Amino acid sequence: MTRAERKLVRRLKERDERAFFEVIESNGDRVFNLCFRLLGNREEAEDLAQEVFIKVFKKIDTFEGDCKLSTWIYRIASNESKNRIRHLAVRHDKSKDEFDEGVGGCAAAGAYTAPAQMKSPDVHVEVQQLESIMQGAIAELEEDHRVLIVLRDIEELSYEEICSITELAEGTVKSRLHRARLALRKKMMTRM
Amino acid sequence: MGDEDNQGKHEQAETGDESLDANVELFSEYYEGNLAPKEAAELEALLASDEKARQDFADFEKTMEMLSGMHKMSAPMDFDKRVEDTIRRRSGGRFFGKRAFGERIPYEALAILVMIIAGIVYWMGRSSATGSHKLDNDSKPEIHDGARDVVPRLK
Repeated sequence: MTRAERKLVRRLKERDERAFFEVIESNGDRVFNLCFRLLGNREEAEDLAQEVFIKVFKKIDTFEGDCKLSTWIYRIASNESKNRIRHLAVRHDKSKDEFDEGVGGCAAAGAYTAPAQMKSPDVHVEVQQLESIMQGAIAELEEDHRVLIVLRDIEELSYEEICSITELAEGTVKSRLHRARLALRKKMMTRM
Repeated sequence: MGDEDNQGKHEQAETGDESLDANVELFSEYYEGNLAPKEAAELEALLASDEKARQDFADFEKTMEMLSGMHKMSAPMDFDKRVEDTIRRRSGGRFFGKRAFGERIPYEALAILVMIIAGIVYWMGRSSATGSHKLDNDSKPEIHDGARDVVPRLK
């Protein structure tokens, strides 16, 4: 951690509200993007990203400074996302019929592409179409695979950061990531 | 018709699984530049000679490029405000509440301001002709004529 970051953390621990806004300012978009890519739904992602920062505010005293503040925030976002995926999976099971009808082939275990996005007029644009297909395929992955794909291949974080976020050994991260990529490739092949 | 197409694609994916399974770890390492030179050379030789492997790698590369090219989503414009509102609501106004005067202006600045005002008032009291703090040791107090016999020692 840099000196500036240590100072920021100290201010956060003193519940300095301006320091908290600085943290949202510098990490808000990345946390939101992570949540969105993991959940595949904008509303859920907005709600979850809010919860992440509320948790940061509440739990800052437990931050020991053993990694970058942003890495710690990502760890919270990743864990909260996995919890939300499980929660949505239960909700999905309870209302499976309605859910499948609503999102068609993109229905996934707990995460889905927003219906509004699927019906968007921009769906004719190839890039967006491919992105929509990709988002649907990601949403069908197991939650651990989903996290690794998003952290490494979308957010382009280093293995060191990913290990710190997921609290897994580098070898484990790499082997799971290979399996995740393989699973994603297979899902893409069935969709394209 | 659509179902048949999907079924066909699914079968195609299933039949290609074995070679893809075997190569994807190598592809991953190669794509990230983590393969040792000897292994990289072996893979390159395989890609040059095996059309199926070459196609699999091209598909793998395409997937990776699509992933890295996905749009970076931005949080809503009022995201920080929403977080602030939620914390204020849940904490019952303990955090991010409407700020008291003493929080908007530091107490130290307030204390200095109060001392300056007190100093000015004191100075005015002393310098004014009628001020209650005025010190005038040279002049003797005036004694009303009717009171001279009551205070005989004062001349």
